[in-house]
Amino acid sequence: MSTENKARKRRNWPAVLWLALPALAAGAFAVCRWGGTVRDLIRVLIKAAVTG
Amino acid sequence: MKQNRMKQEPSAAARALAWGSAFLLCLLLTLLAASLLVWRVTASPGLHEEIALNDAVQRQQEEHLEERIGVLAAIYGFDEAPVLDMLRGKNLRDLNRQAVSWWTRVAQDGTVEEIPSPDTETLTELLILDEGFQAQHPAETLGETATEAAGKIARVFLRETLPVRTELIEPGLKKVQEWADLPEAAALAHRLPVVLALLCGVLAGFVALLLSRQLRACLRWFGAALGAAALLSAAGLGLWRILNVRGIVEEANLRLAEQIRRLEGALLPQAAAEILLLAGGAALCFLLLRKPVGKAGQDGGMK
Repeated sequence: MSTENKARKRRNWPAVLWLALPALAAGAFAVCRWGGTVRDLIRVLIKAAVTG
Repeated sequence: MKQNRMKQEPSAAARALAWGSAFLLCLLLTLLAASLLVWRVTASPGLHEEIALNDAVQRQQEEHLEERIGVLAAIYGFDEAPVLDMLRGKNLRDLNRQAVSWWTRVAQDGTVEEIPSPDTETLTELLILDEGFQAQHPAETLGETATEAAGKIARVFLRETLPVRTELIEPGLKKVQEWADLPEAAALAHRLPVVLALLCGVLAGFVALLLSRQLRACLRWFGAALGAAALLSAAGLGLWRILNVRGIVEEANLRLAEQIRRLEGALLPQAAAEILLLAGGAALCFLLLRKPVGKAGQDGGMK
């Protein structure tokens, strides 16, 4: 296998991270920023709608 | 001449646009995986019936029913045994089946039917004939009190199978019907996976065009989008566990939480299969790329 092909093989998996990391970072930020509020909202809605 | 133009290296702008499209593609693929799970939840009444009619769930419902009817029996002075005999077993299974059918029809076709209700007339007759009940209440108000007690028993019975506040859900659904066409919205929700799959196809085509249809570059970005979607789906699954909706439901209703636990258990293999499929797609694209230049198709787009 040529050196060029080896280089190409190495560059494939980081391409996944180039796409996944921005979304994961945005998701992590959203969870840290609004996660608690969303969880509280879900709790309130469930308590209002579900009987004991 | 035309072929030469096709094999030209894509410009930096085209590569950036391809990255943006591939990013959107990975988000859409993640949404597609999630929508397939939601589709299974709303489109398979058999799964919910299986969960609701499960022996362990029924046993929990019967135990809770005994407890609640015991409290009502102490208040109204009736013998709880014949009432419980009437509610347990086949009747509980039938009401569970009706409750599942009611809410799955709302989710599936957007059809809001009457909420299933237990037979209160037979219960009223049973209470009127009960000696303890007769002894505790004056004859002139016996019928009225029996109707009231039967109504409360029926509500307890219904809440075992449909543990939502029907007094909120019924007017709420009617209000939603005033604003939106529920059958249309339900049909649209059922078509969502197909719509998302089509959008993914269009985006994939767009990425291919941006990369001047160079097979290696396309394989690289498609593989990356599939792999990223697998990672995002796995993260979404982890987030669902962290959010712990079942734990929140558990605070309100233990029997419903048990049903959610069983539903999660039934959906987990599908979620795992979807993630594996996405990761497998990515691995396949990258395996094809491992072939030396000249064997995996046209060259280019990898620099």
